[in-house]
Amino acid sequence: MASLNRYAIRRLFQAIPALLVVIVLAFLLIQLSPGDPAWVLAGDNASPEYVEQVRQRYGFDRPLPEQLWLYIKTVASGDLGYSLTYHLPVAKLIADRIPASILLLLAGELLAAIVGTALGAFSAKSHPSALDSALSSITLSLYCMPTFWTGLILILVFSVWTKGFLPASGMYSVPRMHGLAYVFDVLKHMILPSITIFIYNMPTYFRLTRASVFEIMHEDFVTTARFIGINEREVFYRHCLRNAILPSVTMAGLGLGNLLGGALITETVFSWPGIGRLMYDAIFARDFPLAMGILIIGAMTVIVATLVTDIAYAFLDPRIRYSKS
Amino acid sequence: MTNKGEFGKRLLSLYKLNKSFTIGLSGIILVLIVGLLGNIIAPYDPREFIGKPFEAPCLKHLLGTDNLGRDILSQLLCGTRLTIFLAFGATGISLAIGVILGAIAGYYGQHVDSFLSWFFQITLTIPRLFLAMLLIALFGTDIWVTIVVIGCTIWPSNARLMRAQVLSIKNRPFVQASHIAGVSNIRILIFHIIPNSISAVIANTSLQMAQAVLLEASLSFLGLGDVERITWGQIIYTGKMYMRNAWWTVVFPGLAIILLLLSLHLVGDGFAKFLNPRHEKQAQSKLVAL
Repeated sequence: MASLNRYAIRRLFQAIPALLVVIVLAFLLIQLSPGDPAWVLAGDNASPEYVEQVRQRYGFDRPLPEQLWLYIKTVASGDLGYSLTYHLPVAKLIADRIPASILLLLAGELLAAIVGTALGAFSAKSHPSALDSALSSITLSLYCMPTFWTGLILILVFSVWTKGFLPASGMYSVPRMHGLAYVFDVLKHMILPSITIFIYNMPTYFRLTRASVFEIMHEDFVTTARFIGINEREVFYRHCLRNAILPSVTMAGLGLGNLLGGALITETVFSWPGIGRLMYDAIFARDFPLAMGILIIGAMTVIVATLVTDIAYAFLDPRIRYSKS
Repeated sequence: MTNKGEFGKRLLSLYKLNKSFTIGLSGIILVLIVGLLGNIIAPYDPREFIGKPFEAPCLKHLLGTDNLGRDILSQLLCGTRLTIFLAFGATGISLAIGVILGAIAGYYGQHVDSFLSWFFQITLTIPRLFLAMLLIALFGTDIWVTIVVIGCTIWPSNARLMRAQVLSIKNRPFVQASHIAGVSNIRILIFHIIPNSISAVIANTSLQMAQAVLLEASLSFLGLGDVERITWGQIIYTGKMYMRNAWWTVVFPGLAIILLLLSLHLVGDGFAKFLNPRHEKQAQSKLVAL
């Protein structure tokens, strides 16, 4: 356990500079964009007084290194600025929208991870067979479907052509219901967007698990297990599958950046009131403080998720914590 | 892979063994031909208001018409060229950045490597679509901006592939011989290391193109495409508002995107198998088993 703690602490120290780089990148983006950075953050219709105020706050009238330092200090203290369209602190706006996104992502992602991993292992086990080929072809086709298109087709089939069988937009009906009826209402609204996220992510888990089961089935220790007379079932479940699941764990953390992109599109298609939709609205309102804030928070989430999965991985696979120290 | 004859033989065996690779390649060739001849074989001018608005697919308009009565088949055919051009452009930029940074990281090693690898890791953590949207919102929706932005967001996987390849090659005798002969580091990098380790990155090209096409389509769908030009994503963006009454405005361009992505992925998978002999052995054993 001591080695695990050491590993966790070392990874934690690697994560902090990563956060800094993301903040610096956001700063550079503001600097590099055409026009006065104070105007970018104050908005196109801001009064000269407000622009001046923003200039003072971020120190845009001072030398560049000093500006950078001030920006890092401001962001690190949790001050992501003020939204131009909502007239509220960016941090508060993001915090308000996070639960809706988590609800949607968790449902879609969990389903994708479980079904994808199970199908992938099953497919690899039955290889070579027509079933394996069929599963591989179907998941590859799903993998190639653009998320927005999947969403639109689901709306067409389950909402437009079936005369409103399932709701196609929003998170709850208006007027808002109460109690248990509200829960069911939200669940009903969740079906199509979470299926979209499921379709977006399931193939990745499938391909990953299938490939790693293949790889492990040819490893020496599996052959040895067969030779010493362990039955095929146990060889597969205890020796192959347990090791083959590891890449899926990494995927769950590393894939979060992509997942956020998929969530943005899904939330936009279904008007789901989450972070992705907020980003979309921010971009179109040219609300750059809000957009920057979401980018920073998004990257931070991915960094933290990577950190957590790395530690989980080291916990599951002792080779990792020893090899790098 | 040093022996040319051996290489050719393996390529041939790949062609024979891997049906999906062949299917993918045929798909790509089809799309390339359409991209080349799109403007000639299109039945109508894609920008002209040729029929009634929202005509369902019929003999006159095989894939129907959009809200302004423009022929969707013609739009699709003419949009192919730009989609391909964009895919090549963005992939080229990604290739250049990835190869240079990856080669430097792998070749110089030590602190340079740990710094650059750490940097690659961070760039992978930034949500790609968020970054691309923000960049386009800041710098404009022009198609050239889109190409550069996509190229600048998809390079990290190339850099990592290149780095790994360079690491495995830099201690080979021919590189050491160049060192002893007094060849400068830059020369070794450009003339010996990069040409000998670029194959993995080239093989990754088809997957990178798939990413570029998907990213462009997503950006266009979100309304961040170049409205002056016709791309597949742009057709869906226009169509989605009228989707409830005219499904064909959305369904067909989507199918075109899927066809291209599927072909690119099949070819990418085939290349990956080709470069990894271990997979090939499995394929051969599969053939024996059959």
